[in-house]
Amino acid sequence: MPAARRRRRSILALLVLVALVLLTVDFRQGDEGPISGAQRALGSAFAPLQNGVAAVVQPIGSFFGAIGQLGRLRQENVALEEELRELRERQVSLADLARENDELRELLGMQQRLEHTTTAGRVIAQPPGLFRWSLLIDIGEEHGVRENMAVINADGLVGKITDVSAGHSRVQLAVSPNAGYSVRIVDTRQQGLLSGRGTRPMQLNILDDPEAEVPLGAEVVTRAFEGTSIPDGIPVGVIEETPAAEIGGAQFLGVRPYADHTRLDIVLVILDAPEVPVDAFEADEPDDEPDEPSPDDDGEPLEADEEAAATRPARIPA
Amino acid sequence: MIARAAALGLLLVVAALLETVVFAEIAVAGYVPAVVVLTVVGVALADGPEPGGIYGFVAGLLMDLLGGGLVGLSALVMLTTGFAVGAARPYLTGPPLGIHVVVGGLAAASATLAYGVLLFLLEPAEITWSALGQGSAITGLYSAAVAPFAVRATIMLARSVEGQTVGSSS
Repeated sequence: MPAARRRRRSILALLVLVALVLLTVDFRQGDEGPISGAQRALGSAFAPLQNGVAAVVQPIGSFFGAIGQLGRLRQENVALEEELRELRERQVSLADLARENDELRELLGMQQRLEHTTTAGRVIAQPPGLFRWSLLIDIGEEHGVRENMAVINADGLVGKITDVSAGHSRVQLAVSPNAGYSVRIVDTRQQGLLSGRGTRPMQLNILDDPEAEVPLGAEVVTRAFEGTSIPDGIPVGVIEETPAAEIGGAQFLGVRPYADHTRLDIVLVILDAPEVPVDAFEADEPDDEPDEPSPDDDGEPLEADEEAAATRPARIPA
Repeated sequence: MIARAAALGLLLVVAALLETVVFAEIAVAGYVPAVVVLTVVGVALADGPEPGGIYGFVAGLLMDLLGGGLVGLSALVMLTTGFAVGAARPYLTGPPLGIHVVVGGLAAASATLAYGVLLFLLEPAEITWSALGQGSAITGLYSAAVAPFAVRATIMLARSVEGQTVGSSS
């Protein structure tokens, strides 16, 4: 073997070693190490390029995309017309329900649902390669975006902001295996911790009353987090799987997210959801009382008073 | 050598933009062609296994840093892809167009599959086997359709730039 070739093979072997070292270091350090810092720096540097290219190609892409989806759009049109017809039939009863709802709200003295200030952002780059669960949007600090803000679309929760530069932000999708959210089931008021699992259904860990049955199709919405800016009540998805496992008294349910993470174009960032201080409720607790379980805990049911637990935010690391 | 490295670096940036922005607009079932892998195939076919492997490492590292995933995983996969394609080069016979399509498609599908399997071993919750199979197949087919342009352009660029091959010692 010629010396030059031997030398190049040595370089290759060295690069394999470098890749394995990088892999090990990144795997161990998670989001905090210097490698993640390099990822953020390169992402910020590359984002203006991606934004510029996206501004040019997105109208063209949308045109060709629409042609490619003609068949599906026709089917959707038929389905929507059918849905419209049914909705018209139910319009009278819905108006009644709306009026009744308004009256009940007044009677119970409940506040109207909070309206949040949002800013719209366009998805300018999908993650390169498969099985990566973040994307880049074209708004950043200049538009009021900050880390941990909730990102939604018309269907519900999309994810949250994890990195912000002046004009761009990275969104960690809710289905990311690194994502965790405190949620509640609307029908049963059960609380739980929701984790992303990539292409699999999201995993809901019921924290209180794990024996209670959860109906399939029940809606899951967010609860406020301590230390984050995720507002309460954002629709996330529906229960679609019965308990797949029971570990340490905790139920694990499959949740199908409302938002289709493979087809995101415009998203909204919620700007004015107040960040719940981490120690907001510590004054109510004895100093020696253990913290609520985090997603890393073993999933034991909460022992806090049920009413208090229903209103206070969960504690999840941002 | 500097001119060659700059040209291939520019090619890499263009390929990354094509993959993450342009083809994202015309994705098939949510999947895009592995344009960066196709440039690795092109360099490997033009220059051989060692330059292909070294270019693959750099390309994979860029994708790792841009993608927010585990850094080093794509670098390892693309290095292997570049080396394997370069090593297979002497045994590839037939019209260049056919070679580009078949090798490009197979390399893209294999790289996607290998990335998914390694990811599954490291973080099992992230993927399902059905998604991995579907993703690899569609990415391979879509990449095969793009290969005549991407692989050919890369080979032409690699051969047109004066200087030594990637990874040469002097």
